[in-house]
Amino acid sequence: MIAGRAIEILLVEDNPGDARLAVEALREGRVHNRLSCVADGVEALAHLRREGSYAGAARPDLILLDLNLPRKDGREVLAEIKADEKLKRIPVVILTTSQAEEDIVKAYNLNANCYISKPVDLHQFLKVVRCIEDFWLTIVKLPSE
Amino acid sequence: MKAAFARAGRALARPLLEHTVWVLALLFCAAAGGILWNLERLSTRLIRSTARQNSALQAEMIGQLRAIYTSNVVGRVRAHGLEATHDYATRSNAIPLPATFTIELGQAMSSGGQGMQVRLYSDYPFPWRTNSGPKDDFEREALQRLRSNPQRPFTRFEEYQGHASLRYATADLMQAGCVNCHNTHPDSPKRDWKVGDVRGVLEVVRPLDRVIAQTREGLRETFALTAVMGVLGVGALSLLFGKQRQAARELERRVEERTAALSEQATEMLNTNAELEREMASRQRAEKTLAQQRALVDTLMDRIPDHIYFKDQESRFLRINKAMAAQFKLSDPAEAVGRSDFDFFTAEHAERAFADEREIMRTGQPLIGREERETWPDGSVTWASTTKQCLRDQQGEVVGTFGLSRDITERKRAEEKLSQSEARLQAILNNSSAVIYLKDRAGRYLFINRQYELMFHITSASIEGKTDYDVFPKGMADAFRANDQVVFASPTPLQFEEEALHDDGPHTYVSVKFRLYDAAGEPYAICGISTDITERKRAEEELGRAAADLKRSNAELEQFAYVASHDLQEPLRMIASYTQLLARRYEDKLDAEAQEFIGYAVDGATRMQTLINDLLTYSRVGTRGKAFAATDCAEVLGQALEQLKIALEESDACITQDPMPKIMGDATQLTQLFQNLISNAVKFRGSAPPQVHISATLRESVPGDGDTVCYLYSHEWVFAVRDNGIGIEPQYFDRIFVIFQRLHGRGEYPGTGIGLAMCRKIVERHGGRVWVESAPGLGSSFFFTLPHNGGAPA
Repeated sequence: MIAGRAIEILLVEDNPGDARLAVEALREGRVHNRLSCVADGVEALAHLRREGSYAGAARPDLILLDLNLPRKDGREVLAEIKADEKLKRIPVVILTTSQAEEDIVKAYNLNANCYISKPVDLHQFLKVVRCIEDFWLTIVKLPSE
Repeated sequence: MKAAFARAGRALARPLLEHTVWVLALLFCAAAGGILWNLERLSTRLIRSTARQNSALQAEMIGQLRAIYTSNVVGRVRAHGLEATHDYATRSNAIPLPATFTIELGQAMSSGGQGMQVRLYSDYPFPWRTNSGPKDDFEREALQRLRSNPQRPFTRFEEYQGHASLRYATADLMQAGCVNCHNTHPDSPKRDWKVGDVRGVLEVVRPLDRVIAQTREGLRETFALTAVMGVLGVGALSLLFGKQRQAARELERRVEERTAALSEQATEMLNTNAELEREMASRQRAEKTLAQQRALVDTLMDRIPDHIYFKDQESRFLRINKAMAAQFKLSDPAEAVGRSDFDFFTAEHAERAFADEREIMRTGQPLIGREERETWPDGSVTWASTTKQCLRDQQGEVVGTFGLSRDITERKRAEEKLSQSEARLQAILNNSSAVIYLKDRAGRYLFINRQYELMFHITSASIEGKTDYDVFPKGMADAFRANDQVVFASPTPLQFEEEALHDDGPHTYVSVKFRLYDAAGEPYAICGISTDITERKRAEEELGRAAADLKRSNAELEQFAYVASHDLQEPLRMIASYTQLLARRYEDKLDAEAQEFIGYAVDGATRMQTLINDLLTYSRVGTRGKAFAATDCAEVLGQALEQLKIALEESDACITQDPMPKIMGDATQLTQLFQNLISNAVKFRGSAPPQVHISATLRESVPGDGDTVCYLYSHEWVFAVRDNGIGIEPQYFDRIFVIFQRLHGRGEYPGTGIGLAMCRKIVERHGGRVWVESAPGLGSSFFFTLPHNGGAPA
């Protein structure tokens, strides 16, 4: 638990419907959080590196990353984050529709912190997001920077 | 040998008889010579012997005189005061010493008219005897000899002072009466004399000249006398012999006359005899020749494997040889005499032979080397090469026929076989769909088969002597020639891909070419067998394209699967999630019917997602399977049951199993296979608790409907999963293995209809088959086969 301020979450998701569901789920969450959304990989990295219009962006405490993204896909974004000295300690949760084995293996090989398939059922989905929140934002101990 | 000796004897005797007188004279002279020579020899021996005896007597006499003088004179006079000394002549009252006495006696004897000399000498003379040492070789040798053997006198006949003489030396031994004086006398040169020592030598020299001369005189007289007598004797004898020889000559003449008469008669007789002998010898020779000839003919008749026969004018056998008798099954050729071909061959053959022989006798023309087919009563057929001629008597009249025939059945059969084999080969070559040809070293065609003729519009006759350059464009001919050269250099057959121009353009051939060898083992030609593979090549290319298409199609499928798993599911999730969000957020505003509609929408979306996931799983059986490895089916089955644990417990299922084999396969997929089959057995259960039995049996492979290749004597495992469930109607047996095919409403039994389709795909991937045996209400048995890897079971 990071004391004092709102928890910064970066959601990288091209599908607005999914993004909205995530927002809905996190709104019902117990942790005070602030959710930033970007729709593709290039935007995501620009945000993380505070480039261009993201110069003032906050450093996220948790990244929710979809795999299939326009311009630069989730795997590339994951690889760059984990190769970046400043970013690699930020936990990255892969949140995707894919249940394909090779996607799972690839994600973990790229040092994803965990891999979650989005359930079709809304109630299931809400439950999953709450679990992510609980686990990564209240249970897990993370470095301060 | 004896005769030779006799002849030699006669040859020697004849001259002896003719010159008897001269022979006798010669013999007489020889005898006289011999006698004279012997007389001379005997007289010499007598002279010497006499001289030796006389000398011995004289020497002994002198010795005796000295001994007597020493003992009887010297001893006595000494007793009367007289002195014995060497110089007694100058003194009174002195007598000579024994030695002096002896010397002087010798001197006295020597001065006699006989020329005899006596000397006493020593190697130890007293100094006053100046003439008493040894003077010549004989004396020195005498001293030496006598000292070593005093008893044996030493003698020699030699020239002494110009006369042939006998020198006789005896030892002068030291006497008992002398030794003392000699050892004590002041002038003695040696003082250790002992009795018996050789003091010196007494030598008697006897000249023999006179005696010898007298003897020779006597001999000469004797010879003269003998010679005279001899001449007289020979003369008398010659007279006698002359008379005798005349008589003998007369006798000889008469004998010669008689002998000549007799000899004439004898010669006559001898001539007659020789003629007789010659005649006899000639007759014997003729007989011997005849016997030899007969032996030769008999050998020929007995040993030759060919058939020889002589027939009379009626074609009856006069004689046949052993080989022919053997073929006629006769133990003795003589049995055939008087019989004919009709007794041995079929009438057909006998008649023909009979007609031939008639013709030969009529025309006198022989039949030479004709090949005949011989038929025998037992139905067998033989072949013979026959030569027949007229048989004539000594007057040249035809008295029959004779012939020689050789069995050539084997050769005929071999020829037949060869020609069959030739025909067979020809048929094969000409009916082959391959182009076959022979070319010599220079590339000239020796043979082409019918396919060649058809393909390249040229006949065997017209291609003879031509090369590829006469048939094909230069480029192709060059290529053929180059390959042919390589083949000529290779001891093993070689294979080439070649192009030959057809009416519709170039065709591709695969050509096997190899060398052909002549009798000497030298390659003289190449044989080529070329198969048109143009169609096959086209098919291969098409197959290659199809494979590439398939690969691309698989890649697309892969892409599709991914799209299905992600992109298709996202919209579904949107539909489901937002419909649910609607229901939740606006619960108050929606009535029960709206809620129900929303339920259907969500259910449809969820089901579709399941379908998509199943489809994805199904598609991955082929593309994502693992490599086959040795797999224990017991373990695989155990894992499947573990996965189904909850369902099995809930349904109170009873699972039994037989021992499971080890096979080669993908363990994950096999687990899935068992899991699907067992879960179906439990799912489609009747009212009773499910009972499932899993078994595996080994059997010889049985080809399935779709199998194009069946491996003989291979084995396979047949697995069975039997249940006591609701069963299946036979008309659905095939349908149930098709993807998404269901026999029941979703309400009764959940599922997408993917399970058995998966099973079939997995089994087929493992090279097996799957089928079902069932009847409604009687349970179902699902069977699948997996290949047995160890070949035939132990």
